[in-house]
Amino acid sequence: MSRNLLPFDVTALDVTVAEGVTLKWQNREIDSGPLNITLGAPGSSGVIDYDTGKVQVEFRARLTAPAFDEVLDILEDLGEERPSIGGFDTIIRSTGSVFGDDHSLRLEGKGEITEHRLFDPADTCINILAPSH
Amino acid sequence: MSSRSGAEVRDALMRGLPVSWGFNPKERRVVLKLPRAFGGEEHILCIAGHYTFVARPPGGLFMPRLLVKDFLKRGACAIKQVFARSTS
Repeated sequence: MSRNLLPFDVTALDVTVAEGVTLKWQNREIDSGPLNITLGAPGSSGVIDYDTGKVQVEFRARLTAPAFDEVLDILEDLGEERPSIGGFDTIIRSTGSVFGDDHSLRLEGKGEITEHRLFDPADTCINILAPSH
Repeated sequence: MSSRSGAEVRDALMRGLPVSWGFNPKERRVVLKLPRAFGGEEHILCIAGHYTFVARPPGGLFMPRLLVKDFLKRGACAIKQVFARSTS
């Protein structure tokens, strides 16, 4: 049985969180500056099912911010080995609906940060909320 | 992200053209709870930017994981139905 499935690759992800967040680390408060989310590890992909009007997508993303470099500088000053990659790798699994009139996507999902030596990834939560309209 | 109709966007995707969608930069879409090592605070943040999809060419050798999962799920359902019929 043939189905209306459209597998795709994610070829670009360019997202900024302009307001940033305050990191409290080692008794210091560090302003993260703007957070940037771009494609990280290869393999970001998904599928649109036009029969059900649903889309599933997995973004393999990297989260970076100016403050992360500052944290790594402090780590280095403390005599720790500096990680080779600045930022955090995350996998964001999203699902949602495809709207036929303009092919807009209503995606929501969860991000999972991969192993990191500075903190427990299970202790972190990234939720992407569906757009309101 | 564009003024194209749904049919035009779908057609562009089907032809292998890149299609992008954007975020409303005024809408709070991301809930970020920092790890305890970084203070443990929760933030609800606006995101700006876009993402782009390009359809895989038909008959490509690589099947995405999500499609494999869907294929296996449907296969399992079909097998269950065959067993249900043969035992009824």
